[in-house]
Amino acid sequence: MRAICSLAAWMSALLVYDGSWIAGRAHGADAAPLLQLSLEELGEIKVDTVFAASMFTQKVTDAPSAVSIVTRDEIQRFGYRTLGEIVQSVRGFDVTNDRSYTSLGVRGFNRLGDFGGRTLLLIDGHRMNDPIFDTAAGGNDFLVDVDLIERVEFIRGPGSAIYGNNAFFGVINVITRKPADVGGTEASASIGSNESYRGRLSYGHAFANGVKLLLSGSYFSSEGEDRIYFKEFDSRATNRGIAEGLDKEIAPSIFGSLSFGDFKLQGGYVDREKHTPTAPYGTVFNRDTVTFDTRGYLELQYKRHFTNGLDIAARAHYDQYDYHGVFPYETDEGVGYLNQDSARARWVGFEAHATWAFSERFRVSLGLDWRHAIELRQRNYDESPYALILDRRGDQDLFGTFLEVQSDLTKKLTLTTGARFDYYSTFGNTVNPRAGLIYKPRPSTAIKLLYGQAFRAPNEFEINYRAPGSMELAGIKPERIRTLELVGEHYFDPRWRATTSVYYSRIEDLIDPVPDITNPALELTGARDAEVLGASFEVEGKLDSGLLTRASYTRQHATDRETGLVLTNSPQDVAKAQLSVPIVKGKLFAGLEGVYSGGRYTLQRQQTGDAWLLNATVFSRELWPNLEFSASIYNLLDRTNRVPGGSEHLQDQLEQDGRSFRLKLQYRF
Amino acid sequence: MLVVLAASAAFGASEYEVKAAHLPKFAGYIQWPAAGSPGSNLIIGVVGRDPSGGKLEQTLSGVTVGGRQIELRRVSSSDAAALRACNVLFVSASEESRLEDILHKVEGRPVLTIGESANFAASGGMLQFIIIDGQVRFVANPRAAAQSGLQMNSNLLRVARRVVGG
Repeated sequence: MRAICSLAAWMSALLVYDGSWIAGRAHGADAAPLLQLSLEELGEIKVDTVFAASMFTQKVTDAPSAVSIVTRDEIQRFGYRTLGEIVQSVRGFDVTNDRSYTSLGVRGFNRLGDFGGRTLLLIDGHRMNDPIFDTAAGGNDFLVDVDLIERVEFIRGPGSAIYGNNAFFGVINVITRKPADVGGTEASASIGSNESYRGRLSYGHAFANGVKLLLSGSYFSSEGEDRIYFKEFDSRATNRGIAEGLDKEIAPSIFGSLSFGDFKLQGGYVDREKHTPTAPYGTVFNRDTVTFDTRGYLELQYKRHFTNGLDIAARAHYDQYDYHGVFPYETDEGVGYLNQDSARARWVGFEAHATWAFSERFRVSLGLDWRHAIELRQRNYDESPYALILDRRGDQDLFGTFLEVQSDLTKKLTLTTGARFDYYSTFGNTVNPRAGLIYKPRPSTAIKLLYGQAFRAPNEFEINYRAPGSMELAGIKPERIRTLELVGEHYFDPRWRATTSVYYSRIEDLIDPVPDITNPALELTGARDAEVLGASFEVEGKLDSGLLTRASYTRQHATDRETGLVLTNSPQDVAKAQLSVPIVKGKLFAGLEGVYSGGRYTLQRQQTGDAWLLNATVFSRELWPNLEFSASIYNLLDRTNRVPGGSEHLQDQLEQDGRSFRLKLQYRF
Repeated sequence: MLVVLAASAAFGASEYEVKAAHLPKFAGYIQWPAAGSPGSNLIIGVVGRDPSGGKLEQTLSGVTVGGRQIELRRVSSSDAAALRACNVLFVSASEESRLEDILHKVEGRPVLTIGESANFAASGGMLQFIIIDGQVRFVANPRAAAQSGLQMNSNLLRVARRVVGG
């Protein structure tokens, strides 16, 4: 219900005020096609706006947040394979991979051992973070095939005043393509390094009777790296530190929607199997450790506009998430056994919101949110000899309601104020306000002063997982964050935009079960306070030729407030740059992307050293009719980049992927 | 045709291309009084800083509507005669502070006023663009049109996101 886009066009983030020129397939720069459309059809075209910041559509410069958008066009031109790679391209976001899960971090916070739960991840406005681990899945465990993404909106800063839980550092809203945009049958196939294959078949159509249908299925499999060396395990008994054939991944997924009139039924399912070569949690090295993560949902949306300025939207949903891990251990006598670890969650929910524009200068939004866990269960046992270690069921019910008022104080000054109340069965009440003052001296310039509070509720894993080796977290309560931010956005002309931002956040009661030598007391309390001070600057350009470029630099200082030490896994300097050049106008592009991140502290208080990543992609569309082709090389220089290992790893540092390639073909029937 | 559409996949409709495409459509839904109806050219005046980076011209140059050639003009907000000489006025967002003055200058004249400022229709403008759900929609003020002798077709009002001033 939150993200509503109706037709073919997806627009680039760049030119919000002045418009941009990347558009849907059916409508061209060639004005004639546009002029042939009826008024109704013109009204269906999507232009560049962001929905998720306030739950109603705004121009990016009007949103009370620092917003970025990555479009399908950019996804294609830079060859992004996963949501994580899209996220990594965005200023202020950080992605690491421990060969088991992809971890999304924001603004210097990418806590070891968590699963991205301080970022709220949405698919067309549907919450994807599960109640067990809060996971914001960014790898092949993400439910939507990247080819089905129309655009991704990134809203930085606390969003709990609207979204409640998990909207701690930011919100990522993935907007899927519409049936009419797929417009027939699409088939794609790709082949990549390490025997990686991905296939997809999609069908989308807007029928004359008003029914719109999208169906898509994907299959991904990869053998992973054949032999991975870990010096920590370099001994004769453990295969000289080489993990062989233990990096496999398989991930089938389906996604679909059916809409008619004001109603839309949408759902999807992904089932990922990942083998882990790192021997986490003290398992036996070079023995198969495997995790299965499946998630699925089905929702019914209703959305209606009234001509008096009232918009209402509602959704009812059913969600499920299952995790299962198989971990090989050995007794002291050298007898092998398997430990089975699993989690199961089933939940339902209902959300409704209304936005009433009393006038163009005064808007009120009101929302309700209810979720109920039908089943939350975590189990852990050893096989042969059987020993039950954990079998706990939990409850989690919540009710939330928010109110937000946006009013133009003067012609140049807009004030947005709002707050959300949440009741959680697990810990009680929390109220999170936000306020944003936006000053626009000219339509092309916006200065935003933003204040917001947010929370993250303790999840089922943090509350109830008590296996041997896991720490008891006493007196658990929600994490809190308060952020003050100053943002400046300016369009020099329709082609160039600059954004700068300075932010300070204070985090209290961080739930952080990872032992960290910066703070030994942590093991007792599991909670502490932290702060982050950061600044970033970004320039984007999109030229009429189709040239696209973006460069950003972020400096951030995230510290533990008790010890004053810089947090683990927090790079202080991050620079990102992208350039895509048209070789044949509109048809063939060469893209180059670089990501630099400064060293990060590990749990052992070592520095990982700088990380450099350079990716190159050649992408073509319609060089041959109906055919898309891309060829990418990732980590072009085969640079060895390292990130800190979590406490489940013996490795203090983990290497990220070396050089790899992908070739991809897509054909439309 | 296939080739044209293919090329357009990368470079296509922006907010202002879509808005520009609306302008001749709007004109088609308006009945002008006999005395003030467009001649052989449909004159569209653009008031204020062109926010489209030339997209208006690109989209509308060489286009004909109902046999009339579209003639695009730059018009100063202070030049009353030039404002009145247009059949259609597109008032850019840059003119927000001068709206009332501009609308006053063409009051009672058969000029279709189209704007994009938040209070355009409420200030007496006839058609106002609004962005809703990332789509270009519009608000209609048929009374303001009627006061200038223009009649809005009911189909235009049906497509309008909101009708005000009634």
